Amino acid sequence: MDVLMTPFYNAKMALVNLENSSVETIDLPSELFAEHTGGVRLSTVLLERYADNAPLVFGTGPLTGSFAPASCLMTASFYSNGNKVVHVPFMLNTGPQLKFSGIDFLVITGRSETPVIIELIDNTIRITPGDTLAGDLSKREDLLLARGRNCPEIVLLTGNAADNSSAHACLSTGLWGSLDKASLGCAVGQKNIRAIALKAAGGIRFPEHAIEMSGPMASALKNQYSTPQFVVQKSMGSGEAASQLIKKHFKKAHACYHCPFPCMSYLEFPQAGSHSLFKAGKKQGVFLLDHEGFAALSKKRPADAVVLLKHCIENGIDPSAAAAGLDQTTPTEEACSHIDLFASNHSASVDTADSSDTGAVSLEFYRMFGSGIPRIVPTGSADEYDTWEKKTALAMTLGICPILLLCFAHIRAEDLLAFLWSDADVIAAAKEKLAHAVDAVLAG
Amino acid sequence: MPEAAQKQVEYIDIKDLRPLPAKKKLPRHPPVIVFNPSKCTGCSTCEMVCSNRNVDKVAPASSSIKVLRNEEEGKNFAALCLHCREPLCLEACPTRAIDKDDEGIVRIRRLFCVECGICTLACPESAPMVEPVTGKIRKCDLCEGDPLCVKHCPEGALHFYRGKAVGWIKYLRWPVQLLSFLLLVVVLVGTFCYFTAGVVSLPCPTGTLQNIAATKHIVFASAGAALVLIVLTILLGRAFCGWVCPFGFFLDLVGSVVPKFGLPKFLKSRMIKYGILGGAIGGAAGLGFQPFCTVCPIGSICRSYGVSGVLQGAELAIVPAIASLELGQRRSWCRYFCPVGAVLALAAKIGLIKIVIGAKQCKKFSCMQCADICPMGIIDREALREGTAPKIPMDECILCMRCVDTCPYSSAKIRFRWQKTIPGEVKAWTYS
Repeated sequence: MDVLMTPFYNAKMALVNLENSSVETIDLPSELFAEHTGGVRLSTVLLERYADNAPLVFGTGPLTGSFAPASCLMTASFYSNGNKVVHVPFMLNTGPQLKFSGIDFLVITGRSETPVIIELIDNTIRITPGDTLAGDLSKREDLLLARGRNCPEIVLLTGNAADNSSAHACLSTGLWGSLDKASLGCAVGQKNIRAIALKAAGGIRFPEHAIEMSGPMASALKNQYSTPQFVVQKSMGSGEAASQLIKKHFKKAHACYHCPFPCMSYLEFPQAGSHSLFKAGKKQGVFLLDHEGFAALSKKRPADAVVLLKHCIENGIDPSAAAAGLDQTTPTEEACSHIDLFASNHSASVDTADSSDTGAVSLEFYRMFGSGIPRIVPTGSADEYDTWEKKTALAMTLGICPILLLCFAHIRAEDLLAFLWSDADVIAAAKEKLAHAVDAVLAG
Repeated sequence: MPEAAQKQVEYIDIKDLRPLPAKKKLPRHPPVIVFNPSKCTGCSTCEMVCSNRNVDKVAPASSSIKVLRNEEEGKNFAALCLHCREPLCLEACPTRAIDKDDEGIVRIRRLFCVECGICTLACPESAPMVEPVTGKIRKCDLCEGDPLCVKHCPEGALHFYRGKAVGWIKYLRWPVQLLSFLLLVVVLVGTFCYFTAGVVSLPCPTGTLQNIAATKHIVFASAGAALVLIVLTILLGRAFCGWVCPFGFFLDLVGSVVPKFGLPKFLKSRMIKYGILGGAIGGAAGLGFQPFCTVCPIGSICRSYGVSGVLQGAELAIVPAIASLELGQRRSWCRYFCPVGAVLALAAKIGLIKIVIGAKQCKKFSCMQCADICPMGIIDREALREGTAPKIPMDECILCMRCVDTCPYSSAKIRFRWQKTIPGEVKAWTYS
């Protein structure tokens, strides 16, 4: 049976060539979607197509932007140093913003001579100068948000670390940090891209029946978690220190696009030097999206892990890598200086995945998916996707958050496909295609 | 009209095509969606379902509600139409395409809308939204009474109130007022001026002051007893005026049925009551008797029951005469003229409690429900319009608590004078 995927896509990709600053919108044939389903599988196909020109592919899946829970995912696929394909997940509303901009995949090739910003604003793709985008991440974001009508909904930013071609530079989602521990930030920095700004003006029609399915599933999921520490407690790579710190500093929970499981926390802490005998100190905070990175910092420096996490995000550097180079006893200010130095040193490199190997998840697949997705063993899986890598590959092919699927392993592939089709035969056929796509992703 | 909107009007050079629509009698409590920022996780489900209804596809840019994140403070808030009592967008629209219907819903009439975008600049909530590509203006119409955003919000951060009654306060205050009225007027006839029960005696403080002035002699037991009401006012504010005073209750009854025509400006000074109090005390000193007590409407109404009350018909005539002031404003007598209230106001100035309005979730500039409902007219509309917290003068507040009750955002709260707590402060969101 034919499975028609194109209604859930724009069936378009944008090809941005930084060598000659050209932007081209290309129609993608429906057969491509039918064969590969979408998400990271199709991104891999596009990577191979443009392999000669150092491609970087941002992609979405069929469920991205839909009424399925946590349909927030955008993936960035690229060839890492070892010439292996790596897929880095991006959360919040990055996926819907890309998809609703009228394209499903953004392929960036070549390298710009000068720093640039790639803008997808109101369904128009532009390459604009990015020379002025400097300083820490908050300054860079402020500059992008002060653009009046061209103010983006969400920005992917590189920081000082990427400017200095650090091997541990991250591509950060605004000030939220990132699950990028695979040098995507470095790859983006080497292309001289300072930021990718997204603001969608369009939309996609999803089946009406899915709206009514969404609520009950959300309610069912909500009853299964209890604390903001849920993710770090389940993750094999985390520890008790991170859990305690989240409990101590937790201020507010945040969720990604259409996610009933608010796993991101806003942690608040007193600003250093702002309090006195008679005056309470000012508060500042940091978003906790990168649970693995925070866990690594917490293990090393439980006293100031929150402060250091903020400093890592501001510099656009991977907190796990920064933690590996930190001394346990140095004062906070000295540790911050160390992070600054680490971000500016392009030759400094540590293997964070090996240093926190728990054995629960294959390092090969952990690295394939960006080394930032929490290593949660999917216990109670109700279908064949019963391992960390299979669940992750499934989520990244469909375009939904892998953390949700890992935490709630009982959600089956057909439960998710039911958000696209109501016909059981079509769902069965789509599931078969999906299985092939997931296998192909895991085969690299 | 805000400066930006004014500039836009001048720029596009649209002349007023039609006059402003006549003001309609609005429902007492128009429907409204209330947003609770402490519960919102920023998942944008509201935008999804809203856009799906508006344009039949998931397109957050076409939604009539917008979830925004404050990355500095880690908070979320939603821009959505509050269907204001006095909508600024309605006044700003040069083509009069915005109207408020009989149910209190502010709507855009597509036929007249020229998509100039002035409404988006005029609205302090930025509720009318411009679609980026088409330029169409979108605004919440409450989904004809069943808002989808409220229905689908997974965190319950949105609540829809429709025709919300004044709430619990009327069920508490009216029985108390009625009981007080019956007690003081029917059971303990004529006792407000000097209530005695066994060894307890509670004279009216204004009458006591006049008595002291008239006799040039202080009876300490009587003066001390008069202080009881003063002390109660220090503790509870002018709760006597709002909850116990039989004449206040009578004015509330009259005020709820008679139309309002306003008062001449020269009568609208809250200092008049202090002048009357001073005159009453000075008159008593000169005349040797208590002149105000002979015309006091509170005393008159307390003495009006039974045969003796009817025989005092001439004195009772003062009651309807003063009650006619209700044709001007609610509680006109209490606001501007009552010398008993003046004495209590002086005590309330140093009282222990206060009412505060101005929480972060207060939709100051557009809701105005507290200002509309306040019988003493002490909530500053201009302060609300400017987005600052209005300062409530507790010497004028009769502690009726209608503002506390009516605020759909729980922004109005009673606090102790020394408390700095911002009412309705956003609490940390916790898992269920």
